Amino acid sequence: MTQEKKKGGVLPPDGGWGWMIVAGCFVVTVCTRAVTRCISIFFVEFQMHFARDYSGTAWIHSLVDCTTMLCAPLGSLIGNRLSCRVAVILGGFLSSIGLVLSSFATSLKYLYLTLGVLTGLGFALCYTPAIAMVGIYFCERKALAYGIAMSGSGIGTFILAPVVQLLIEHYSWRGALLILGGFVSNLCVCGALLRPIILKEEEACPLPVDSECEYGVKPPTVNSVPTGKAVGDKLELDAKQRCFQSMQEYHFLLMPDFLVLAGSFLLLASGCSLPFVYLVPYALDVGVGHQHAAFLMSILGVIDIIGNITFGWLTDRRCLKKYRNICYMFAVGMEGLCCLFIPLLHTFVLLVPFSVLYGYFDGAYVALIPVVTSDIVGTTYLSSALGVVYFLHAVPYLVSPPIGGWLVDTTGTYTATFFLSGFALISSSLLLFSVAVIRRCQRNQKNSLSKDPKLVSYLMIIIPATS
Amino acid sequence: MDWNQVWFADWATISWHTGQNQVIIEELAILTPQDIELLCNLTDIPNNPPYITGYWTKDGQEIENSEETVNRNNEQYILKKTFSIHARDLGNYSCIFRENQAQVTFVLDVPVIKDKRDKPVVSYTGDSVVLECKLKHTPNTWNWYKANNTEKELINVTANPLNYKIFINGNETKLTVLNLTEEDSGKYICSAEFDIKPSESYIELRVLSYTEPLKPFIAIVVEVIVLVTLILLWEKCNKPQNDNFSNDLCSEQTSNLTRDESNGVENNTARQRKLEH
Repeated sequence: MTQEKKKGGVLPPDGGWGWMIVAGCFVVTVCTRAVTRCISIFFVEFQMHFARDYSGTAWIHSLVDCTTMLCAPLGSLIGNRLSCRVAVILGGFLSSIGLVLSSFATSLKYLYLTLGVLTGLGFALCYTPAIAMVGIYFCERKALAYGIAMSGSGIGTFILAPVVQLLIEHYSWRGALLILGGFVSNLCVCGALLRPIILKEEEACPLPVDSECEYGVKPPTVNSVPTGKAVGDKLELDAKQRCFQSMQEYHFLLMPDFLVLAGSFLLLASGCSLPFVYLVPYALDVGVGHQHAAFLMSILGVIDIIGNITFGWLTDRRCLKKYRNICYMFAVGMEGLCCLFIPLLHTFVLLVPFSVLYGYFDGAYVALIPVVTSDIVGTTYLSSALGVVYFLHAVPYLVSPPIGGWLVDTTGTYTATFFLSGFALISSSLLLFSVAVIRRCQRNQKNSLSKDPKLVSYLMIIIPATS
Repeated sequence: MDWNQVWFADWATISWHTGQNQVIIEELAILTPQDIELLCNLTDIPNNPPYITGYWTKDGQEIENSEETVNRNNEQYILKKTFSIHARDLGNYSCIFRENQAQVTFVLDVPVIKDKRDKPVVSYTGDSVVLECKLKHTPNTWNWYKANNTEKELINVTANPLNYKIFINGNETKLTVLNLTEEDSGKYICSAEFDIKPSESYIELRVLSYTEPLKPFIAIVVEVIVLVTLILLWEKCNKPQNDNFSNDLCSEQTSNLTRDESNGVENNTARQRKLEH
């Protein structure tokens, strides 16, 4: 209580109501990412009912995924302007309506609109503000909180997939979509949980930095504009301040660190979705049985969850906190390395370690994306930055599986696809690593140069004193 | 015997392992009435006797006069028999060697529609539904029936063009039932007509009304509204305690109380002193 000032600035609670926020974000991840993955279960039903083939129905999944990521900046914008709570409740409402409307679908194009665009938009409005809120509420245990929150997609898929199958069997796809729409309206409950909090105006959470690592640079905050509004209540602003603020909100886009991070995210997103899509076809191609191939995917999903939580917990340890960025680079690099070994693995027994390792590091980096982003841009701009980050994921997600498919068709094997994925991931990691090394060298140079002026000024102080 | 119609079946090679009773099963799809030669080739018998006896069974019953003595031929014993297969002759034919009970079973049947949904197909009143049947072999034609208790009623598209559509494409068929009503629930039988015998499979259809999924949906929505209201109310109730104004109010009240208390104590001590005096 003594921390609360008259203006209302608080230190990040790191617990207490923060855990409710984590629970809320967990449910948001379940309702958005897991439901998106479970939509593919409806494809067989859609194919039968609308007499279309696989490619016609597969567009729905791509549309939902793409719209969710493309509209992520919109989600963070609404979260900043109104509040994260309003954004998530609105998103829950929209996606619920989208699913309910699609239960009355009469054609596949209708489904593209309701399921693809409307539901995707609703998900986009929920996803970014919820993740940003977790970053606001936590400081010391940020990575663990994110790990738990992001594990929702894995756990959600694991639980929802059989449930959706059961719903389809009992109520057919129309009834299942209707009930799924009701389930997704729980996003409104998560939105209600996102209690607004106003942090102290300066950076309340000391960044895990040693002086050599450039990732500790904070964006200059202007105290005259209440930047706490990024997650706080509505304040009275006139139009001029609002304009200035929107410039202020996206100021981080010009930071060189963020640009480098953005570039690495583009490469990352190009590489990471391919193994998920092509692991099972590759396994079948190599001679693994259908059930074993499906089992590989299950292993991937379960180890993903474990990777989320354990890696988040690990990087919260004091000894590793300073090296969080290196842990992130390591996770991404190892993922890429796993992909490069695929051509050597052609039995089920050999593919299991691949699934385990790939799943673990996939879960690891997913939990660390918001952490690394918040380390660079700071808590105040986290919402907007996350919007941009997920926007950058959209186009590679949409484009790289078809490119992978084209590679498979032209070369006749899956080797090229996995090599592409591996190289994209490794180059993403190397980009960050090389920039970090360059910064370190620059810092060392600066330090060695600046030592001399200190000495001179010290002498100047001494000399007048003695004279 | 019309030699043009003799169809040499795949022959099965049995290797006899000591102490092992192997039963090998071969499935043969029969489309037209024909004569089929079934052949069993036994190898690797330990003592290599000069001849052994074998016989045939149909559906477990030994066929009369089917016992034969087979001579050794390059360490192989070949037992074969030609059967004339019509609709009533379909079944499980086995060749059994008496000495070592080695056995091969040939299952002669029309092609079986294998990928059958064991769960009923669900749909809603006013909606349409597609029922599908697929086979590996192409029949002469497909027919759809609706089962009414024990009877089958042929679905005639020309008689009911508004309600039914049948699509036939070689080895697959689709029945589209339009304008569903509750009476359309039941068993639908797809029948692949072959020369020898039709091959049938059934699909069960359940037609629900819209209120069925609506109940869980409304239950979940009510739960959501209740939870949201509870959470927002709880927050509002907790909020006044955090306001500075009410803090001052609270502290004022508590300081008043303490003053009253201390007054009360003073009064008591004063009274005690009075009493003591």
